[in-house]
This record gives sequence, C-alpha cells and structure tokens, in this order.
Amino acid sequence: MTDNPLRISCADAVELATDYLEHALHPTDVDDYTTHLSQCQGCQVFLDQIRTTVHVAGNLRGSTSSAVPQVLRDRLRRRLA
Amino acid sequence: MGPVADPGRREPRADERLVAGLRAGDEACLEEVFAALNPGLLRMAAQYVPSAVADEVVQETWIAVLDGIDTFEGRSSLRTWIYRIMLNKARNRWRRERRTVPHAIGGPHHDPYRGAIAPERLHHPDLGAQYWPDAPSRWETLPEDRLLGTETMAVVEQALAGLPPAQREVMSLRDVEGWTGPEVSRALGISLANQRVLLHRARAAVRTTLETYLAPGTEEPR
Repeated sequence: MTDNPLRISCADAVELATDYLEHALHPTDVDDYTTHLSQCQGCQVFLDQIRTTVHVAGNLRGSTSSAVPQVLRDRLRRRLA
Repeated sequence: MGPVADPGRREPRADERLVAGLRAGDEACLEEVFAALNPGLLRMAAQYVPSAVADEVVQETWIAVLDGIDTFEGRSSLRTWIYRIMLNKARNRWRRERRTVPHAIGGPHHDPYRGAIAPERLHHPDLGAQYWPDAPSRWETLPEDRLLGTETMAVVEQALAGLPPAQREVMSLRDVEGWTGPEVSRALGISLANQRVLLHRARAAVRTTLETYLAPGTEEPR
C-alpha cells in the first residue's frame, strides 16, 4: 500500500475522523489522514457531515429551565434546621 | 445562567461558591445550579426511563445532592458529581424496568458496529473494496430549516436514543451538553481513549441516520 497516493483506505480514513477533530491522532496518522482527505471527496464530505452532526446534536440543548420545586426548597431549608 | 452552565469548563471558584451556598442553605445558589443543570439532567434521564419516571429520578437526584452536599469533596466538578448521582439512579431504574417491560427504552445491549460506513457501501469500481464509489451528498446545500428543523431534531433525538447506552451517554454529554472529553471521561468513569471510541461510533451512527433522512429526493427536490 506504500505506493497508494491515498495513503490509507477510505474505510480506515472514516474511522479517524473523531480522533482528528479531537486532536488525538499521532502526527503520522494526521499526515496520512490529511493527505488522503486532500484527494478524496468522499472522506472530505464524511468529515463535514460528522462536524454537522455534532452541530445538529448541540441544537437539542434547549433551555427549558423550570422553577425549583417546593420539595427541594423545603429540603434546602431543612439543612438549616 | 451561572458559570456552572459553561459548556466544558471547570470553574473551581464558581463551584466553591455554589457548594458553600448550598451548604449554607442559600436558595439563590440552588436556583442557579438547578437552572443550569436540570434541563440536561432530565434529557439524559429520559433516555433511560419514561419521562414521568425521569422526573422522579431527577428529583431524587436533587434531594441526594442537597442531603449529600457536605460529602462533596471537590475532586470532580460539581456538575460531574451531580450527573454521576443521576446516572446511578437512572441506570438502576432502567435495569429494574427492563425486567418487567419487554422492550423498554434504553438501547440495545450489543453494539452492532460495523464501521463508520457499512462495508458494502465502500466499493469503488477500480480501487475495489474499502473505497467510496462516489462521495456522499453534501449537506451544505440544504436549507437551514431542513437541517435544523423540528423534524430533523426529532430524527436526531431518536437516533441518539437508539444507541447502545455507553455511546449515548458520551455523545449526549459531549455533543448535546457540550462537555469536554476529560470531563465526560471523569463523569462516566471511562478512559479518555475509550470515550473517543464511543463518541466516534455514536456520531457515525447518528450521521448515517441523518444521511438516510436527508437523502435527496426524500423531501424537497434540490
């Protein structure tokens, strides 16, 4: 596989996406991965889609905060008793 | 929102202030911590048990927090400690309910992981197995309301709920609640490396669900 301009297979590349985004890849793997990406549209789109998936998931975090229930206020006051 | 709500940040000073306030019975401190954490606690508990039970689990969590705040040693962040209490309770309730309800929520027990992309999808006519035959469709061209609309959010929520519990916990804390890797690994008691593996599998599975849902021709023509 040393003469492969893509360095690594797409099957291997897609497994590196999260570690790449986490800055957890070994420098050699970063080199293989980015070289692969520069020549592989499929893996570029995959990485973009992972980024978008993270962004979309973050939108689940709505701020529907409610009031503190009375039972907890009572419990807190009991600490003082 | 107080500092305790800051995604992924450990704020020891803010924690000290809030812990001292809770110990002193300060209602404003309780309100601050409650407003910051209660929505996320409910979201996560509801992935284990029906939402009515999740309400109970989270309420019991807060009671345990108020009763046990004197035992909090500050070795983890306050929210990490609170989430651990909730997770223990939610997991216990889930195990109990699972025995009585045949298909209770909580996700599959075995990880059917077959790679971030199914092997049969990766077969290039010339390069052979393990290479894309063609790139997946780009999502950048989708209208914002398609990508972040309520229907898509429901699809993502469902995808998340269907993950194996360990993956779901990691992705919920990392990508929904916005925690850092180290904080999630502490809260769940797993290594940072394991946390990354679980996160990757979870994201890959949710991406696949999104890809199917957003596939051209399934709704608006592009």
